[in-house]
Amino acid sequence: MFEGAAERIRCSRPLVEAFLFVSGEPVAPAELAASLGVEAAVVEEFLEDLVNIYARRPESGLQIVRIAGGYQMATRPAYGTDLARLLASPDRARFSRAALETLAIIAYRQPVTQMEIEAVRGVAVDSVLKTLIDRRMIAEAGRKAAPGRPILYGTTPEFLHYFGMAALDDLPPLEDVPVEELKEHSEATHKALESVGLE
Amino acid sequence: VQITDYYLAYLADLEEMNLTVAGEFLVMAATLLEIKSRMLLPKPAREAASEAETGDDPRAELAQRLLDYQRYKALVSVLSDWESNRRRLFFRDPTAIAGRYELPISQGSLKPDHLMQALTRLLAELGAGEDEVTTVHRQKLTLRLAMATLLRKVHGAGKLGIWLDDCLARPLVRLEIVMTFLALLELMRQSRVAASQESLLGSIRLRALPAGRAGRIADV
Repeated sequence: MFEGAAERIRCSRPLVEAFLFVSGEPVAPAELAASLGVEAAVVEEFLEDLVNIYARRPESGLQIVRIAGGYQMATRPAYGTDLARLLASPDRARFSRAALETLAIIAYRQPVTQMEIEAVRGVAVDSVLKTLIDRRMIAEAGRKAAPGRPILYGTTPEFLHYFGMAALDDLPPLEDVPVEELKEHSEATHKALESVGLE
Repeated sequence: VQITDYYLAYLADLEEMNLTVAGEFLVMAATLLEIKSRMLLPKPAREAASEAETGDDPRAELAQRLLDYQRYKALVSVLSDWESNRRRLFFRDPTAIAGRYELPISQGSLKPDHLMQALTRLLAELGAGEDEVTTVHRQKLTLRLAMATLLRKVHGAGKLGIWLDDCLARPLVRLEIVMTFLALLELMRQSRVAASQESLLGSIRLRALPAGRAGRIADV
C-alpha cells in the first residue's frame, strides 16, 4: 500500500497561496479547511496574511482580494486598462440605471417577488429581470407561500463577484444611504400630495 | 375633488409623455387615493386606538416608501462605481487538469487564410450549392424527363461528346444528380449513349450512339 496516500496534507501558507493560484474561483476558507482537515480559522489566517503580504509588494502586479465569500488572486486595478487592451477583451455591456436600481431593490429585500419589486419601482420589471437572470446576477430563490406561489428572487454569488463585494454585508445599511432632496423629478408627487391635503 | 381635476389635466398631456412616467404617475395617484380614502373612512374605535398607539399613520407608510425608493435610486451610483472598479481586475480561469492539458492557440498564430481554407474545406464536404431546405417544392422530375434532357444534351454536343459534369445544372441538387445518373444508366442500357473514361476516377465523357445499334446491344 502506498504510504503517502493516507498521510494528511500539511497545511501551510505557501500551499494556500499555490491553491489560490490554481483556483479559478473564490476560495472559501471553510471549504479549503475541510479538505485539509484543519480549522477554518487556520486557513483564514493564512489567507489574511497573504492579502497583507501582496498589498505590501508594490513590485507585484497581483493582489489577493476578498470577493464573493472567499479569497481570490487578481490583477491590480492599476493595470486594468492595459490588460484589457493586451487581451483585446471586448467591452461587455454595463448595466443600465433601471437594471442597477432593480438589483439594489432585490439585494436589500431578497427574497422578493416581481410584484414586490414593481411596487417599489412603480413600473413593470419583466425585461429587466430577464436581463439580470441571463447575466446570472439573480436567481430563483424559492416560491412565496402566497396565492399563485410567485417566484422569489435573490442575488447570486456572481452578483457579489461582479461588483467586487466580499459579502452582502458590504452594502451600506439602507437607512444610512444618503438621500438627495426630492428634486424636480418628483414634483408631480409634491403636487399630488398637496392636492389630497397630505402635505 | 381637486386631485381628480389634476389627474385629468395630467392625462390630457399623456400623448406627449413617456409611458413609463405615465405608468408611474398612475400608480402614485392610485396609492394616494387609497391612503386618502383610508383616512376618510370612519374606523372602529378599537382599531383607531391601536393605530394611535403604534403611530401607524398611512401617511408615514407613503413617506417611508418614497424615502426607500430614493435610497434605492441613490444606490445606483454606488453600484455603478463598484462595477467600474471591479472591471479593472482580472482573474484566472481554473487551471486545466494536467492529464487533459492542451496548449492554447497563441494569439497571431492563425491568419485569415486559415479560416478561408477551413471554410472551403467544410463547404466542399457539405456538397456546396445544395441549399438548406426551407420550403419544399414538388419536384417534377421523372426518369423519363431526365432521360430526354440528357439525351438532348448529348445529341446537341455532336461527335465529340459532352462531359457528364456539364450535363448537370448548377447549383447542384442531390435529386437532379441522382436522376441524371439513373437516366444515364438507363440510356446506356438501351445503348443510346456511350460513356467513356480516360483515367481511373476521371471525368466521364458521353457520346450519342446511332439508333441502329440499339436493339443488338440492348439484348446483352
